[in-house]
Amino acid sequence: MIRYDNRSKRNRQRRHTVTIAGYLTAIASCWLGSMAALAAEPVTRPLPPVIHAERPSGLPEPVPRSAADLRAIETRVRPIVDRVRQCTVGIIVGDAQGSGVIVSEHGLVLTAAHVVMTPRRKVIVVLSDGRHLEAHTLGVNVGTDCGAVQIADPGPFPACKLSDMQALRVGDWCVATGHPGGYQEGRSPVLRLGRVVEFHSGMLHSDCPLLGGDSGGPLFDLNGNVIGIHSRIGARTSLNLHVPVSLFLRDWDRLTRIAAPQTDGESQSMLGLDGQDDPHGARITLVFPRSPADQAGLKTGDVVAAFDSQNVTGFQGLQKLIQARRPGSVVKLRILRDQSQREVRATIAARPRE
Amino acid sequence: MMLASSASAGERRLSESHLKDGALVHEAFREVVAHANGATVAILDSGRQIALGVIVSPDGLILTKASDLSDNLQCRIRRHGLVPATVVSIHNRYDLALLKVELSDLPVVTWAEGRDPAVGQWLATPGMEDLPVAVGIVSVGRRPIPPEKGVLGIQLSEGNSGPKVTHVVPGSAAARAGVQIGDVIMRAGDQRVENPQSFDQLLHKFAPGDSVSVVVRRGSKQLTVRAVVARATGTPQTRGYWMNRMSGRMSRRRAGFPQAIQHDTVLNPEMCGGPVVDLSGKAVGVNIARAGRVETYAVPADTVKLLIHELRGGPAAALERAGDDRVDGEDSRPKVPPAPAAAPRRK
Repeated sequence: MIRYDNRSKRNRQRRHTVTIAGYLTAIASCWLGSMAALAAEPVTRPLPPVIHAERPSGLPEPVPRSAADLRAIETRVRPIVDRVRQCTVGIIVGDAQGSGVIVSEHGLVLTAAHVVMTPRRKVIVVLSDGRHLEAHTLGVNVGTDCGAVQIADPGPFPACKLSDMQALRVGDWCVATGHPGGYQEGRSPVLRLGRVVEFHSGMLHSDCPLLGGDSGGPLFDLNGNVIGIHSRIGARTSLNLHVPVSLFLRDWDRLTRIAAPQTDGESQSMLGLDGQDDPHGARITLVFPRSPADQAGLKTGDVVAAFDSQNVTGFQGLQKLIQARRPGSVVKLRILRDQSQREVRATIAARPRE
Repeated sequence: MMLASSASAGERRLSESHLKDGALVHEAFREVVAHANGATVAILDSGRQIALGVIVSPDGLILTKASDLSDNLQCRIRRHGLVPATVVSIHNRYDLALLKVELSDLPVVTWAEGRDPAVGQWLATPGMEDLPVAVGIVSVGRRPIPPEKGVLGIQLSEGNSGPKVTHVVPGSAAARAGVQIGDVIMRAGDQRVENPQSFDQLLHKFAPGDSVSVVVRRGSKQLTVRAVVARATGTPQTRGYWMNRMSGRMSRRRAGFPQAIQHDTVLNPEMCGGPVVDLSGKAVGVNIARAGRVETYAVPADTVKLLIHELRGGPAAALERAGDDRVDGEDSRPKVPPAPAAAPRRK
C-alpha cells in the first residue's frame, strides 16, 4: 500500500511498504513477465552463495536469563551491524519508496514485489552511503511478494549471503534493516532486533518492528545472512511479516532472468490461472477472478490436458503455450474434471501493466 | 483497513513472554536496571502519569521531558511516595525541563562516560517497577532530528489594518483555539504581525506541539487566544499517519532535536523523560520522544550533562521561548537572556 506525504515536492514520495492485509491463504504464483518467449536475451544469473546456517553458538536458549546472557546476544549482533547496513538499499520507484538488499557483488538486489510492481522498469537504488544509482526491475511474483532488481553499475558492491533456512528455528534472534518512512539523507539504514515468532514455507513472522518504507528490506539471522524480506505488518508492533528467502531461492531463475528494461509495446499473454504439474497436463490451483480462465468457467482442480490440440506437459509447458499466443486469440482447452472430459474456449488476454 | 491476523495454522509459535520485549527477557534485565531504578521517578499531572524523570541532584532536582508538563505536577519517588514538584527551568530546543522537589539525600543517576552506545547495543528503560518498562537496541547513531513544520490551519489575506483571516480549516489548531474568519491578526508569540508573509515566517519557528498565543482584533474587541501548533503531515489524509497511529500513541513533540540517538524500544509517550541505560546499568541518555512505530529518540548522556548544567546555572539557563533559536541540525547553546529576579515558571 501507498504512503503519501504532504511535505515539500522534493520529498513528496509515496512510500511503499508494509501493506496491512490479511495473510495469503495460498501461495499464488502470479508471474509477471518472466517468460523465455520474450524478445530480450535472457541472462541467467549464477546462484549467489548460500550458507547452510550453522546455528549461532553460545546464544542463551530458550531465553536470556541474565546480563551475561544479554551480552552474549549483543556480542553476536555487533559484528554484523556494519555489513548488514552496507548491503541495505533504498529503492525509489516513481513516487513510491521501499527497501532492498544487495545479494551479489554484481549488484543483484532482492526486494518485495509490491515495491517494484512490474518487471523491466527503471528504478533508483540508493546505497547506504547515499549514492543514487540507476537500476531496473527483474522478475516479480506478486503472489509471494518476491521481486528482484539489477543495479546498472557493474560494482562491485557489498553483498550479503542468503540462508538456506534449514537451521532456522522459532525463537532465533534476528535483525531487520531498511528505510522506514522512506530513505532519509543522513540516516543510515535503521537496525532493529527481534526473534523469529513463527514461520513456514510461505511466511516468516518476527517481532522486529517495521514501518512503511521498510518493504523489500532484509531480515538477517545473527550470522548476517538474509532469512526474509519485509512484506506486511499488523497493528501490534510485534506483528511483522517477511517473505522467507527460501521462496526467492525456489523461484530464483524466474526472478533473476530478465535482461533489459522493458520497451513499450510489449504485452504479456495470460489466461489468469496458476497451477502445478499433473501426470495428465497441468492441474489448476488458482483461477483469478474475472480473468479469461474465470470467464471460461475453469475451476480449481481442473486439469488442462490439451491446448489447441497440443498435449500439455506440466504447468510450465502450459505457460509457454499461452505465451506463444497473442492477446485476443481464442484457444481451445481440453479439461479433465471429475473423471470426465470437456472442451472450453478461452480468450487470451494481455496482462495489465502499470 | 484489514489487519494481519495472528493465526498460527498449527505451526510452533514463540509465546508472548519470550518475545524480545517480553516478560522473560525483561527478567534478564533485572540486574541491569537495578541501580538506575533508584534515580527514576514518575511525573504526574492530577494523578495521571505524563512522563518519567531522572534525579540529577541529591537535593531534589529532577530532569524530564518538558512539553507535556502542566502547573499541577507531582513526582512519585521510591521510598517517598507522591510529592509536589515545581518547574525550575526549561530547555525548549531539547524539550527538557528541570523540576524541584523538597527532598534531600536522593539517589542520583550515574551517567555513562565516553562514547555513545553503538548501533546494535541493548538499551533498557527503567520505570517504577523492578523490571524495565521496555527494552530495545540502538537503531541509528546520534544525528540531528530536523523539526517538523507546524501549521495552525488559517489562511490570511492582506488587510488595511493587518492580515485578515479568510479561512479557518475545520478541526484545525486555529479552529480549536477559537480563531474566526474576519479576525485580524495583531500579534503571534509576542511579536507584531504585519502581513501574511511575516506570520508565515513566525510560524515557521514553532514546532508541532508548541503553544503559541495569538492576539486578534475582532470588531472593536481585542482577544488573545492560545493555539497548539499542529503538524503539516500528520493528518488523517496521510497513510503514514495511520500506520504510526495504529501502532500506539506518539509524543506530541517528537522532532526538532539537535542530537538524538534512535532506538527501537516500544514506549508510550508517558514513559518518556526518564533515563535509558545500557548493559553496564549506566544511563546513556534520556528518552525524549516516542516518534513512531519503529523509533524512540534519546538525548545522549554527554549532551544531557551539559544541558543540566545550563538549566541549573542562573543566567545561562534557557527560558521558555518561542523557538527563536530553532535551527535545523545545529547544536548551539541557548542565547543568554537577562536573568529574571525569580525562578521562572512555565505558563
